[in-house]
Amino acid sequence: MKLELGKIHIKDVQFADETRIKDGVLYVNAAELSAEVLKDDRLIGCRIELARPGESVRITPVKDVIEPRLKMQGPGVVFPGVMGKVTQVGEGVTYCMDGACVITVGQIVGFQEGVIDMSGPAADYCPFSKTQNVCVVIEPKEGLDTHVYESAGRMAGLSAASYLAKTLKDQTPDETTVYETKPLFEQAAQYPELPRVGYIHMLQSQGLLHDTYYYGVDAKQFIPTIMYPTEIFDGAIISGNCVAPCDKVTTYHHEHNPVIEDLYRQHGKTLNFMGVILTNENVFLMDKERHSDMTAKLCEYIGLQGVLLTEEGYGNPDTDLMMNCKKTTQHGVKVVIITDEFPGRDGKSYSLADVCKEADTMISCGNGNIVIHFPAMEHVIGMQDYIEMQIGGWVGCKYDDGSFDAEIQIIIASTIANGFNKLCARGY
Amino acid sequence: MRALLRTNGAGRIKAWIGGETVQKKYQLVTNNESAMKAYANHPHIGVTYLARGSYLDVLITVRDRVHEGWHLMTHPQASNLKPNQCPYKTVLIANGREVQSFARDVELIEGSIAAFHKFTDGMRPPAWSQKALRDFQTVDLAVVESAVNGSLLRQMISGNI
Repeated sequence: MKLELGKIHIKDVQFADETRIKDGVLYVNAAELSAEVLKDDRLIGCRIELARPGESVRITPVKDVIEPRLKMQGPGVVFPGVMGKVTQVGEGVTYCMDGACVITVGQIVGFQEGVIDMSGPAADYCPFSKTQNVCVVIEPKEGLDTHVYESAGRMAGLSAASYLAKTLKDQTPDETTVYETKPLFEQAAQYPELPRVGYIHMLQSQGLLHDTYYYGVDAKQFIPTIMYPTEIFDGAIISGNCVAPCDKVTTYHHEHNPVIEDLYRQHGKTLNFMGVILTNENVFLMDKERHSDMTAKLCEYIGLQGVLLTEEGYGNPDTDLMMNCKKTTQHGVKVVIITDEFPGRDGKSYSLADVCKEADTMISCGNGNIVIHFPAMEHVIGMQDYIEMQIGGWVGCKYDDGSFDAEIQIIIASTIANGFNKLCARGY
Repeated sequence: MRALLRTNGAGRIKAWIGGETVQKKYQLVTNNESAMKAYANHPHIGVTYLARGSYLDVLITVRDRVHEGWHLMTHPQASNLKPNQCPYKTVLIANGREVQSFARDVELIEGSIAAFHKFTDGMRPPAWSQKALRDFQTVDLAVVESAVNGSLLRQMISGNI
């Protein structure tokens, strides 16, 4: 399967009468975009705001972040099964709005969600302080069940991204990258001298506000399967997880999965990238046993010699992480874990909620319990009334001037456990 | 329905046990009123409801049950919300149907209790609003229901096997 990703670089975003891209600037007709989102009658309000790098702007509570992409050639649509028919994606040509994002903002539950600062010290911890952001601030119809509102919020972001993506149609990419993975036997034969390496991608799947979707299907309902890596670049996986900001894998992070991008960079040089095994992080312990068995079996069956292994979340997923590591290792496959850490503020406690002796090689994406100061911003997109209740905040962490202290786990994707960040840890 | 009050080993917690729990193969241990109400009349799942119990009390009660011969069905740290980020906890256990070894059950529940202390010792819990508390109940219940409504566990529970 071969996919060409054409990147159109966006260096600014502005409101205008017509939604289009010209000379690297994304112009947005806010009324038209808002009307598109409000076609969903579960929502009664939608306000569009823009946020650019360096501005004194705070965005909170954030639900999801999405990069607009458009299928130019090949089967299917971006976000298959959700924004169009269920058709196999990952082949042909796809255009990306590189450097621009849709950010869905809105209060879904009383304990709120994460923070993106466009400037100041917290901006360094978040990739979305460097992107041109179109914020979709939604308001639900009164009395909606939380499940229904979550779904409406998820669809609002995807609808906005699909609307903006139409502007990519007449663009010429500034940059093009081609990714290719062949059918199994052909792929193994292409670089016979290089180690066969795969990627076990664990998807969050614990329930309300903890879900991920593959071709529109809730990941908790599938059993481990093999995915061509290029499928993910076409939006085959979307996020429905909005509980823990710091290690939340947004839809943007799926579109830009750094493990897959880096494995492709090494493909044919230092390793032979064979493919991706998708699995989940279910709550029922029998699901964990079955799916870690199947994950290890698939690694052995497709002849992998090494795998990278990532999770989303803390606690329950750490058990899946360790079961996958242990069983895959026992099948003779070398495993490297990538994860973030929660060892407490003093850093003295265990970093993960579970452990096994096979987990002897780990790449850390940082400690979510570190506390920093968030200075007041001139403008808040959304609301910061609930900072003390948000994950990473505490009673008394907020000051009268609008500034606050909080653990960096309040920042969207600050310690994301697939390495799409700049934090690390060093062993001494 | 039969209901009774009972204290745990430490004598600190009043537990409401509804629906002839003792005969039921499956049991929810919870301090979440929404979970208690949702399962109060379930034919095959009993409820140990710790009305005034904390997240930690639920874990300790589950640990006691494990030592009495019950088995973990759901992960005690289910949900991405860490112990200092959510006041509610619901765990499903079973009698006579084990998923993993006793030693592994003990390891998981003791690990969960240790994680609770790691995240809460010396910390003041947030002053959650009533709406936030209701939402925490909803999310906690949804997480355990994701297991109860799963393909295999649904069949096991409905067949009482």
